[in-house]
Amino acid sequence: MPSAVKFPAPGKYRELERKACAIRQDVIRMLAAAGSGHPGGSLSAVEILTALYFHVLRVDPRQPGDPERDRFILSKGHAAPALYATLAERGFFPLSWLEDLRRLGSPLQGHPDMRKVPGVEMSTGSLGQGLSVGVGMALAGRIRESGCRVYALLGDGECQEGQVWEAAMAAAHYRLRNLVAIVDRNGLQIDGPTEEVLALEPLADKWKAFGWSVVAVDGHDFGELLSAFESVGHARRPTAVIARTVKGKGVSLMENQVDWHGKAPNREQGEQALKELQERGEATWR
Amino acid sequence: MRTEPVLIGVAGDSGAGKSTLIRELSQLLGPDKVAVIGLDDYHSLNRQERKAVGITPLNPRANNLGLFIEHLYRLRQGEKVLKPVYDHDTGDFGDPEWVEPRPFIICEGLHPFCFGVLAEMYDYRVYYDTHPELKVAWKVQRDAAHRGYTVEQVRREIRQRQWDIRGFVEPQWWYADTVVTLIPPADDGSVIGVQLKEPPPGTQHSGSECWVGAQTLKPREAGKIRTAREWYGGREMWVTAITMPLTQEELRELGTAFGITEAVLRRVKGEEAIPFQVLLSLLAARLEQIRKQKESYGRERYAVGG
Repeated sequence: MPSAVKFPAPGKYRELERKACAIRQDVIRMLAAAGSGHPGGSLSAVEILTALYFHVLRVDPRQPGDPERDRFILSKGHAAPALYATLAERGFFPLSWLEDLRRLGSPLQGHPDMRKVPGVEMSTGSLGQGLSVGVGMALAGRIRESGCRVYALLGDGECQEGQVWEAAMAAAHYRLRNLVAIVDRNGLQIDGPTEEVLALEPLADKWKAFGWSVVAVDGHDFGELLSAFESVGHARRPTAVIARTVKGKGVSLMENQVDWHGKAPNREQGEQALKELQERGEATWR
Repeated sequence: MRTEPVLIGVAGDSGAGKSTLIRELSQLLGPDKVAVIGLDDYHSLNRQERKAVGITPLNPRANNLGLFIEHLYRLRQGEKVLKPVYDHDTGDFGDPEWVEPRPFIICEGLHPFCFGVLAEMYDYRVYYDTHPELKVAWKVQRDAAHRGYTVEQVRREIRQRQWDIRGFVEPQWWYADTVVTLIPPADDGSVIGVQLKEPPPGTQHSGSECWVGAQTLKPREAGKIRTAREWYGGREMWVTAITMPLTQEELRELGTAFGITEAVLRRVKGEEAIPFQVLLSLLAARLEQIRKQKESYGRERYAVGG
């Protein structure tokens, strides 16, 4: 299977970094306006989502129902703000929708709904189910002889769910080389560090033992992320990308703090975070 | 100040002894300074798929050379790359691995100079060849010992491969700065000799330094090094043949003539250096010179830019 992902032009990383910075600011604004939501896990996955939607995925916002499109499943559904912001920046729906996060009647609820939001491939939020859906999509893609690929983003705490490993077993059994599981390895879950709640390490060896091709990368480095996605499909096995990330990345107030798993910033904290992100964003423009 | 790594290409048939050469060469250059990339890892199809398509790995079309070029560019820029890994035991791909850029990057395989754009990327190109007699002898040794083949079977296998070798691998010697051939021992001596063929000065990057340098040396007078100009594949090549071991004294003389550093000379142990060791020290010296040129180029450019 030839590589579907090409290396970017030299200026591309800068462009992606700027996009990621814009998405982070959108996330903070959304959460501060809604007064509830999950900032930690949303901020840690921003680079992964940006790399996917702005370089890797073959999707077209004008044709969200194209059968040949690549699929992305946000299995850690509580990181919906990051997904919404990315979809809006990519042009699936207007940026003005973001203001109504978690409001009654708004399409953008706390967890993504595939019937209401264009570009969302699967309704998720009940953890552990996304990869199973991904296995089905990848298998269907192969039966239809479509070249589409399926990407599923899992949280690391989510990997404690038994269903994830059932899906991992099935994917390896069917040799789904068009399936990619990305683990957002930020090391924290709602109740504390994953290694104290229910230890996951050695996580890479676990995926390997289940018959997957495993790549470990820095989840905030576009060079490494894109190299990893480029290597997908060489072997006749599904690929697991274990992305080391920092929970709450980009906002010093929230970085590596368990408290910020599911707490929205108040007005003052939001402004402070936005100021920090804007300064960082301006630095990337220079 | 970052210096670009020195890219070295080593082409040759499988079983010619490329990996032995590279292992010894990286010992001389310092193992922590060398990264080795095998082109076998850039197969685009696994064994099953090749069988289904009916193609051998000797055919460039069964190799993902586009990805290889991409990776070479990135390594030259000082970025690390995620290289695929091909497992010869299973005939399928393993987990990809990261390759960090190091001062010397050696690319070895069947097609490192497959086409012009690719050949131009290297700083130094070696086409590594082994005399057919030696190749048969070594292959018989290996296959008879481990797999139970007879001499006739081995010869037949080599004959079957020869058309792909002639079509896809051998033509690459044209791009080489040095064509190295291992030659069987002469009747009087017992060591394997080394023959270096270089394009005449001015036709390629490196010119014929060994040939020119060897003209005035003592080992040549003693008949240990022979020089000649020969026609090879429709083009004139200047040939230097080292057929007998050199003494330490002679090696030192060679060292001063070619700029082989003390560190390299010191690693040649024993009283005599066999031709293969001489070849290694010549190559190591050449690569270190290229490295130095690159470093000084970087400094000058930095100084001009202010």
